[in-house]
Amino acid sequence: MATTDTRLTPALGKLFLLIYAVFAAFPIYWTINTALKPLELINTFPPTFVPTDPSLEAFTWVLTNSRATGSIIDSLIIASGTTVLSVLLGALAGYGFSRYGDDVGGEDVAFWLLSTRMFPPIAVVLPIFFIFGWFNLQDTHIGLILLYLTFNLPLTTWLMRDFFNKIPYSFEEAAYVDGYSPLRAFRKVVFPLVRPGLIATTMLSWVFAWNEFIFALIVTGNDVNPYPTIIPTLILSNQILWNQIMAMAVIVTIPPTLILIAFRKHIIEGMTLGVAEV
Amino acid sequence: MAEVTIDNLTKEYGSIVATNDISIDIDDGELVVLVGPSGCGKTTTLRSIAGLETPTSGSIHFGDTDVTDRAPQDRDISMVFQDLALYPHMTAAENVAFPLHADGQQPETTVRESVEEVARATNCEEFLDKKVVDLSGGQRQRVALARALVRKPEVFLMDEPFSDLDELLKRQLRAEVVRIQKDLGITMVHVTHDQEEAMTMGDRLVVMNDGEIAQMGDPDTVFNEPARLFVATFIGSPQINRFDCRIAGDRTLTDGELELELPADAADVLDGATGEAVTLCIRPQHLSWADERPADSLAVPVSVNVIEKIGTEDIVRCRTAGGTEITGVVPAGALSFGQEGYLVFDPSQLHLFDGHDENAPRLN
Repeated sequence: MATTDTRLTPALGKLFLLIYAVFAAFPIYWTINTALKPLELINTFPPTFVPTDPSLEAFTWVLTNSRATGSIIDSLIIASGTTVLSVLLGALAGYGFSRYGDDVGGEDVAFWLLSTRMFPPIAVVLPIFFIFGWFNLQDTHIGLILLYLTFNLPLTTWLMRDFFNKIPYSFEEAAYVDGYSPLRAFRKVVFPLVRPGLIATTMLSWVFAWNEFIFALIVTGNDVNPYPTIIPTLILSNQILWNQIMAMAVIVTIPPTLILIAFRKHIIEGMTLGVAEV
Repeated sequence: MAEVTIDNLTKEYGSIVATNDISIDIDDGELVVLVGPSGCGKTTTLRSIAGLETPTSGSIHFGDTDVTDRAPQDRDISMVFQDLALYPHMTAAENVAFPLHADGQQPETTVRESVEEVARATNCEEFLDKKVVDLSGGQRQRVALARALVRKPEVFLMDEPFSDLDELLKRQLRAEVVRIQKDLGITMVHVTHDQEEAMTMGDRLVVMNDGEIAQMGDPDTVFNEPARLFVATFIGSPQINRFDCRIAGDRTLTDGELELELPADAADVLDGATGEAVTLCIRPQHLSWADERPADSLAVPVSVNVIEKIGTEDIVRCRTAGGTEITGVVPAGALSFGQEGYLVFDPSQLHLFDGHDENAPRLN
């Protein structure tokens, strides 16, 4: 009996994982499937699981239509700008809080930083709309970058503070004693150790700015159009352009996927920093 | 190498005084051990020598140079940290070479040679190419030692690096550190809370308590003539026997239960006591067992309560009729549980202190 059990359990586990994988992957498959169908085949019943006559028409539209490409470029600018600023500032602040935080709140800092994320952002949408109007920040890249910075910076600071906390201060002290200046000690000892954390933080920050919808919809609209605000415009009064929506969805998934693949080792390390190491 | 002079070092953290007016002269090539319970200021003193703490007042000189306000990187020191502070993203060899790359001037071949030389001295040649995470505790200790030695610094500091090791490895590494220190003639300051480690390693001991120096001296002096009651109780294993007494006559002390009749020469020093309160101490090694009360000597009737075997000898924890615990050391197997008899005090090994608090000074 016992032997049957030990052989059966891994098989059951694999079966469960398989079911879960299908469950998780199906929407992605359906997105691609829909994007490849001509519009008139999308609402047929029963639905076709394999496109009989795949058409790249929708993808061609996304890649050639100036509104669509423009919106992806806008999103890239905003997401990258937000990420560079929030990771840079967040890393500096996180280092400060980690090393000298006892003078400015100690452990309460972590809660204070995190509490800013508990606030429902939707509550401030209208005030932000007016404030951005007064400062001429509406419909600009910098406006949205600054706005996303206010959401991202507490998160990146909190994450980076935690990553720096996992590097004992004695590592830096040992470098000082061995003749290193604070800047060189940081570059040679702290930076290589915090790099996985920095990459994971960058990733999270970038994905948030890339996907954000509500604020983008409120404060932009003419000169600047991040891609999430373009997708709703494909819902017309008489029909929904499902194939174009899905093609857009596939294409905007590519940048984060590539980043994830490129840095997957570091991201896993970053997520488990301090658990697997020493 | 250099001598280190610490003058009136005081370090305060807000209202907490970590070290209070500490002065120590360390000779060139000497191994000084700072020893004391946690929070006694020994690590603060060490970190001040390293430049990792800025003293509130006082000064530190290496040779004739005042280094009080110098940053650690300008002091030409090396230090082994309590957590060793080995860098996990580097191999053992890269860790050892790290101090040599500080100025970025050393050619790679010289670095390689220095690393190999110090690795031979510290017995870590075999695992130089391994990552730090793949090393055992003892191997890490050796790598940390090698990293600290590679630059041949003026002053070598150690902050309890052996505290996490098992007993056997600890003894081995202690002996090795002392050998290397003597071979190279290094000026070394070692911090530990382990009095046994302090006794076995130090040329000189600085016993610290509550931010102050309780006694400074070679291990024999500290052991045989503790200057304060604190030193007597802190140094020595098993712990010294202590009787908090009052003067009850010309030669007699009483702790409420026992009447202790001192030998004439010991009794003379009682004249120097400032009050009634006197503490009598005697080490377990200086008590001997007698089945019958010996004539003319200081002895206490006891029964054996606990016997701890340590191989060559037995540590016997005895109890008087009134419940006072007294510890003695007797030949292995000499006594059995519950046995009744007398613990006889060696009259030349009595320690008398003026008072009952830990700062009480020695009388004899």
